[in-house]
Amino acid sequence: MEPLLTAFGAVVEPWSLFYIALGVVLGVVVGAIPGLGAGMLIVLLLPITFYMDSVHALILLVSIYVGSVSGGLISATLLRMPGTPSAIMTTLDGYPMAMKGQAARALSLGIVSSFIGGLVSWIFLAVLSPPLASFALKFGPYEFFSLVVMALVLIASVSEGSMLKGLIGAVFGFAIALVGPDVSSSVIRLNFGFTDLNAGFRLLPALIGMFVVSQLIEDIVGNEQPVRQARARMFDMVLKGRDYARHGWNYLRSSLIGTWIGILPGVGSAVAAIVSYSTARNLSKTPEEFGSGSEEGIVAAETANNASVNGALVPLIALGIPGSVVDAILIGALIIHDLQPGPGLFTEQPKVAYGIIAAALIANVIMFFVMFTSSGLIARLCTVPKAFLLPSIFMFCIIGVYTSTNRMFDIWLMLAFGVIGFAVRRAGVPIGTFVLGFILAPIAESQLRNGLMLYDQSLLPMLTRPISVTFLVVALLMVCWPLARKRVGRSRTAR
Amino acid sequence: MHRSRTWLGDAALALAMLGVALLLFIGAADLPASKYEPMGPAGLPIIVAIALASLSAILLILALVRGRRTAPRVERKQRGHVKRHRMLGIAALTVGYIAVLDHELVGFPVATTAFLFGAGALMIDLTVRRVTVLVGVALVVGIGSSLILTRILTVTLPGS
Repeated sequence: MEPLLTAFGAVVEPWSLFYIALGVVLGVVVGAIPGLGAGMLIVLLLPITFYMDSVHALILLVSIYVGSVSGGLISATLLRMPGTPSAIMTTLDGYPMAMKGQAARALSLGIVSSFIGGLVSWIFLAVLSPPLASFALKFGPYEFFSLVVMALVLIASVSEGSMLKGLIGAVFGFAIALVGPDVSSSVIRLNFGFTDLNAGFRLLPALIGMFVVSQLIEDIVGNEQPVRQARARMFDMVLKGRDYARHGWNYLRSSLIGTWIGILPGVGSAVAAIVSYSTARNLSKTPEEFGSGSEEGIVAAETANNASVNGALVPLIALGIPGSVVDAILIGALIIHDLQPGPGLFTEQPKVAYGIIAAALIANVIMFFVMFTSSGLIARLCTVPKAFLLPSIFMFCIIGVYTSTNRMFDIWLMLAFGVIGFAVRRAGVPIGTFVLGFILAPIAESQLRNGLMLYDQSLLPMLTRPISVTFLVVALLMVCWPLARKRVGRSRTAR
Repeated sequence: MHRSRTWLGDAALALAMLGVALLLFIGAADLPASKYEPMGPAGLPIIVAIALASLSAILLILALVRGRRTAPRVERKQRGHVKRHRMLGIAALTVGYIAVLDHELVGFPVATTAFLFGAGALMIDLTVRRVTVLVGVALVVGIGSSLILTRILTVTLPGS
């Protein structure tokens, strides 16, 4: 408790509050604009954070994450375009409500839901992370390796598209990460004579290319239909207390769903929103209203997607395993700031670990006020023509890569990764699995090799140590479950 | 017989990944064994190559099996809001922009302003008003960001 209180004391000083507020505002704006997102903005800002104190850098980036998940509500409700994948379910009921003249009500419920989801999940974040980190200090190399395997299989199984393609994306990310110096012997591998690749594919050009540039290409070639924009006035957004209170059980249930789905490594806020929405519909007395303006649908989706943000921070801080794709990028931020992600963060860098936890709460509060006061204005930003926005973002990509590496070769690499990322997306491979594979590959390799050295070249302990085998069994179940379900479905149809 | 375009995409993806797996095998073959630990630098590349090749082979088989079945032709998607020749223009402009910076033919502010205007112009139907706004945005963002980054943040930009 004391380190957390100390962290709060540090986080409420002016510069920290400034960075949290800035992060939330940027996150809300970026989250509201379809085609952009927290991942893009965080990756773009990584080079700028080089010049910042590590704690300030991480709280800025985490605040962007908190803001962006909420920002998706605005365009989902007013423009029928989810600003982020986590707002897809909100679109189903938010926009129909807006078209009935209840845009302010829809936004208000969504904002309060986001706030409550963030608060409940923050309690889990504050309570669970330190003991989980202590427990994880007992993990050996095979436990970490199995955890990485489980995380990759999990994200492959829940990403859109087939699990097979998700696994291909993850393994492809692994393959790309192997180029460069070997972790143990420093032998340069897989550079095929290109000396520019002696250091491997650097994190930023690969991330910016695969994540940002590929999205820019997608936005340019994508298919946008013009939609009627709804409007909401700030004064109409303040509802009576009972309008919020009658969704009490929905808030609690959806918060718990979102938190626990967020904690699962590799899963993210979109899945949390989908599961919560489906649960709410199944339990609702008026399920027929879902999809045509149900308040319960908005509450369920928005509570869960925000709860998953803090839930995803739990494995990030405690285990060094990302709870979502954005968390994978945050791991990149930790690495860039010379911080070792993992359970040791609490003991070696408590200021950073507890600073992130404290900032997550304050960011949630600031998000509430920003969303209530600025939703209408932010919605107008969504209509900025892409012709002005996209080339500017590409310019910032170039600046970001060049300032971090000072090599034009990396800018060409960024462009190449952008094209590859676009092709990979079009082929139905989720980009998130590639990013996770790329980020986790060094961890997986070093842990596997450490394990082999520790256990005299034997892989058997991976199957006999209880925590390690638990992770592997979960991974195996995630692979086999869809196949078993398909088989059962076919035999039922045959009967 | 009509074929779904999806199976072609899947087959292309599978073949591309098989190519990556082959590169991993070739690259790993040149790596020395380690004296000090069992796996060595070639260990994980070979494991990853086998995994990638196996998954890609499964995808290829599934794609070919799907392709042999009769399937309704997939309707062509509606065009995106940027026509194909304009997309090619944006691609050429982007490559040209990076090449100009790489060879330091002109400075960052000039190259960037030209790129922002050119790319923006290719993405919209031009009217006098839009051209005016586009020129303004290109100048403000291109030159403004360059000044802020170099004079205030003292960052080195490409092309300088």
